Amino acid sequence: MTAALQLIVDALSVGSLYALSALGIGLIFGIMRLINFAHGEFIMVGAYAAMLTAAIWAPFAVIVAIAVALAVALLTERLAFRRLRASPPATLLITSFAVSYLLQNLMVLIEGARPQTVDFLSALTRSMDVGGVRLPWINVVTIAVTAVLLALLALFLRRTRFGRMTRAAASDFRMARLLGVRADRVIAIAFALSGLLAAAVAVLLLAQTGTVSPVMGLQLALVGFVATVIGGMGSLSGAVLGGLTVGVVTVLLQSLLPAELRPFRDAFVYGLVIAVLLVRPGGLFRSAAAMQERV
Amino acid sequence: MLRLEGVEVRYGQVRALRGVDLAVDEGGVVGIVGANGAGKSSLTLAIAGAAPVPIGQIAFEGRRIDGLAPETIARLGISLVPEGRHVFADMTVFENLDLGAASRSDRAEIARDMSRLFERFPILAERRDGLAGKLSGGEQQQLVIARALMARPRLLILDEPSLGLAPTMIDRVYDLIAEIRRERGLTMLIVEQNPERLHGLADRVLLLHTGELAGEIDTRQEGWDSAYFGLEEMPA
Repeated sequence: MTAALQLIVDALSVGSLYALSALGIGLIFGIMRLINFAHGEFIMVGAYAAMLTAAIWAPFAVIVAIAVALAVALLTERLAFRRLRASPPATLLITSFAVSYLLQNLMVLIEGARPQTVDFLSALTRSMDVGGVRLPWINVVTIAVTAVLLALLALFLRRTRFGRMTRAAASDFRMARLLGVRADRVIAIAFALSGLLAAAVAVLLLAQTGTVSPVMGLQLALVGFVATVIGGMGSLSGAVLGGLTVGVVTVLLQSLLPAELRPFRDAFVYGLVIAVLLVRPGGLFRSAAAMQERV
Repeated sequence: MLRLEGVEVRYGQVRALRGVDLAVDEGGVVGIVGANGAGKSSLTLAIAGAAPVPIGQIAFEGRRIDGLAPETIARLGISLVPEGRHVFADMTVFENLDLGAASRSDRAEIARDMSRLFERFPILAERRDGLAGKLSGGEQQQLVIARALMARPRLLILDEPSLGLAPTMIDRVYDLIAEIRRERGLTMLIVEQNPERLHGLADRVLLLHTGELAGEIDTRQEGWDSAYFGLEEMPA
């Protein structure tokens, strides 16, 4: 029982980071059909920003991380993607790779290629005792922050006009524009939200690992993309559930696989992803309402 | 009100429309008929700004609109109900209708329009908080027409409103369009495959054939259908 609770919290914690990454990627994909691999670099610059200001005051570092990730996300949209909006998806994909490598190499130029460590919110790495189970504070905080962020985002997307426009654009961008939804505005909102989510991942990841490197975002961007695919591309709730699923499956496999197979854990994860897509090509969580043709 | 001169639409090497001249006067209803692939949807998308117009001009109320973004054209007063309905399936009926007023900011008036539309479309009022994707095809068609009306358009373009609907539902949708026309005197451009549907509703019915306007059909005259179908059998 104790081990099971520990496992659940670990799984939800990893799943939370994947869900936030997937949502950041899913928002942009839904609207622009752009698989933004540079999302990992939004996380990376946020983490560096937090690292560089961590010594001043942790809450200040969090604010700086948010501001920097948000600014980089918006600048990327304005300078790289806006002019290419009508281009084929392959052009957008290649541009996102270019932006990704550009940001990585810029960081190598500024801070060097080697990973750096920092003492950031290290108190959170201590554990608390819940009925005999030792749970790291950082895992609980990660789950709580994710839950609060998702609740706030859901409120924004469901209760505000801009939120509804963003959801409509993510579902059917051309129809939304035909109704008068301004493309520039809704895309800027999506990139801002994507930057905000990346900053949250950056801060939580830095608090967990205390390490930054120019390539730290790559894995998260890849997992985030996979999660949006298995969640059902174009579905925001699907992206979140897809992220959680990939995280939970990853942690469960890490725990349940025989020790000699654990190094190949990711092969099992991606094998499962292929199996899921063979059975449900539209993704696990794409709603029946969205897929059904009505007469 | 709407004027097209020599409009051409291309998708790569394919010319979907060629030299289309068309005028829709204020308060008028113009029908466009044609077979699959005749270019009907390309015509509606070109007017709404969602298809490229490399050659020719489109003007609305004296202002050139070809080359403008779809949202800009929508904000000028043109509402398109596209082929295939395009409801936002994962959003509620209320949310879909509210999005129809995306170009407006007069919240009190929007709420009043919404109430009026719920009176006119009682099935939508019943399903107000249900997902649009769960509605039947006919209900979805009513929803997208109501959604277009939320913008208070001056020109309403309907692209094959009967497509994919059961015959009884088609009658209901066309009755509804006729009622809206009577009540509001709204200028309309209606695209259909079946000219008969436009009888008594459209002032003029024009035939679109392989991307070109091929003349006017008078559905009141004897033998109009053989002329129409005869043309449709012509080799492309």
